[in-house]
Amino acid sequence: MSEQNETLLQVIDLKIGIPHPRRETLIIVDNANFDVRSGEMVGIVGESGSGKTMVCRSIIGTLERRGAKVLGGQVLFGGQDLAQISETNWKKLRGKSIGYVPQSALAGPNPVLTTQQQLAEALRRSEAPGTIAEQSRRLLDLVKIRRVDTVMKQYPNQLSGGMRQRVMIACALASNPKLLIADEPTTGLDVTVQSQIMQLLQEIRADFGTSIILISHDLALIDDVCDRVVVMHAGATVEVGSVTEMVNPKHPYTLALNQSRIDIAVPGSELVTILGNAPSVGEWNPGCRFVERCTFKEEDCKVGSHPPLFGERGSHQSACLHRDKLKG
Amino acid sequence: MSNINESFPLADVAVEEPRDKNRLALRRLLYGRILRSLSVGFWVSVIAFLMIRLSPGDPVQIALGAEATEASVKQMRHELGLDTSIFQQFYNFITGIFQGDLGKSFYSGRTVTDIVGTHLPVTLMVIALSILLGVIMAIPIALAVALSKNQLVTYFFRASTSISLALPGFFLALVGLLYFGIKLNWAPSAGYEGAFPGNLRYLWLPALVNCGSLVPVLSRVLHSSLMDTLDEEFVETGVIRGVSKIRFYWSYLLRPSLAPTVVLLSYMVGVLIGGTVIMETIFSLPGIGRELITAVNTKDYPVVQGVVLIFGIIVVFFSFIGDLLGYLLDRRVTLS
Repeated sequence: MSEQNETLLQVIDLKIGIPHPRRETLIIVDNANFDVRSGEMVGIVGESGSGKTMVCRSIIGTLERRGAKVLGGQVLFGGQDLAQISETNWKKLRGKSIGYVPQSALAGPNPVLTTQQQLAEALRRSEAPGTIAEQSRRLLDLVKIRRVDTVMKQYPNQLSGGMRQRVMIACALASNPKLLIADEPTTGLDVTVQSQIMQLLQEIRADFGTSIILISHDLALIDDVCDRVVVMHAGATVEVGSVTEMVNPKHPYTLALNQSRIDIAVPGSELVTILGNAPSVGEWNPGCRFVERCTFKEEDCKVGSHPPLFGERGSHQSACLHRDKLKG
Repeated sequence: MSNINESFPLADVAVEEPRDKNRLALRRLLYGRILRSLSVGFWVSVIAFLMIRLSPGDPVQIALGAEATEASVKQMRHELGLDTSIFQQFYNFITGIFQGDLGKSFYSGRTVTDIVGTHLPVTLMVIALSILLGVIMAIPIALAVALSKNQLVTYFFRASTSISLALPGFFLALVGLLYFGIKLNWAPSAGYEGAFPGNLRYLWLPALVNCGSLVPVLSRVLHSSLMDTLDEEFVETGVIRGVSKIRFYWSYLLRPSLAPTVVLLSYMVGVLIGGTVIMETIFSLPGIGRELITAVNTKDYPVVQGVVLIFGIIVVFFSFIGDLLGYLLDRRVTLS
């Protein structure tokens, strides 16, 4: 349990943008801040366009092929700043200590490769004992796939959504990673399959001490399975804290997210929704980017730059100037 | 959560056995295609049979000339079987097909199967060479444009493919003949020599001209599939796994993008046959297309019918191969 407190990944003041040859660089993430400790499951929650996926891509080094670039800040992992790594060095690093489970189960696996071929690719650099075939079987066992021989020879379109995602998790585990990033791993899966996948992720964490970053827009799901929550809004981290701390949010956005949860809605009452829409990328207002939708706003919220996270790193942090108003 | 764990201890695999499913699909495809080629073959022969008879001109008049006597016309008509009813003639044609007999040329007296056997290989060689050259050019072009981040490259690609498509094949053929044939003397401007490696020097230019329309179409379709693939999430996993460059280009970019292009290419064989017929005339190649043109001009019914039927079979055969290849490349392609 002493390992629990060791920090595995630190994202510090991360800024990501998409450069354009003629127009101004489009900033998509600014002020992203959070830590992941060993053996911890961290949920990143936010609406679409809040930059959750982009932050993850900076951790796995696939920003560049989407035309995006790290413009500032640090991504510290295993003594290295991933934000500064060149493409050639990424080649040596990728697929070793960070596993990645892609967003959609339907589009995640390569459609022209069988399960066997996908696993063989993922296991290419594995140093674990046993042949590729033996290791593949072990991985499929691990993600609780029963008819291993059949599944091995199947193409993704012959597998159900849940099975595809299990295969993807098996591939992500091939390198025995310290950190597993699951980007909305249950999108498009039905509820029973969703809970099976979540169960699996929790077991992996318990058995191997793997840290997991779970990206989702479902706060209820994150509440259920994660230790800590990172709330993102318009490219910035607005609140960080443990699941228990989040019961009393310190940021109006988190509060609004909490109130709009369907699972805790009172039957018969009208569903609470968050005022307005998240500001689009490139249309961020000065000051706090949540100000247009905030019910606690004051004049000083509308000027200057986006407020930083207040409080000590690792504690319950909020990026709201008037966080004290939310207490109680 | 522990409840969930007990009620769903293992993933449920509700899938069919893949092998049986694949085999079934393949068998169905094969049977379907045999039926389809039979029906296509039948209708092609009906159309070929009727078209040539409906067009003006009488083969006997053409053969014997204006000064032929009534008696000689009548006798030749009888010899060629043209004095029977059109239904009888069609019956004879169809039953002949099933016995491998496509009839004899009215003029040379050679059997149609003999004519096809001598001249078809030249045409097929031009088509095969066109496809080979076309694919060799289209894949790198489409890949380079898709991977280029420069918008100008894409504009230039769009513009040049449109221009190339707009230029008629016979024009390109004549320009090619003047430039490569006469100015540079890289290709003989006419004539043909039969054996395989030697005949390539007569065939490469016609095939290249065919590529003038083939490459723009193929590279455009492949380019748009590649752009779609590049947007796919699975490409990310390829990057993360750090697969080798060749493997990445093949398994993560080309192979998931190729199926539409392959299927289109196989369907374009019909268009290629049309183009090749023109090339054979311009380059004086002894292909089956030139025989067909002569036969149409002289109303050589059996040759026209036979050659058109063979063309129909070739088109059906290639579309079958294309569908099969598309499926083998990418299992998302459904066989129907």
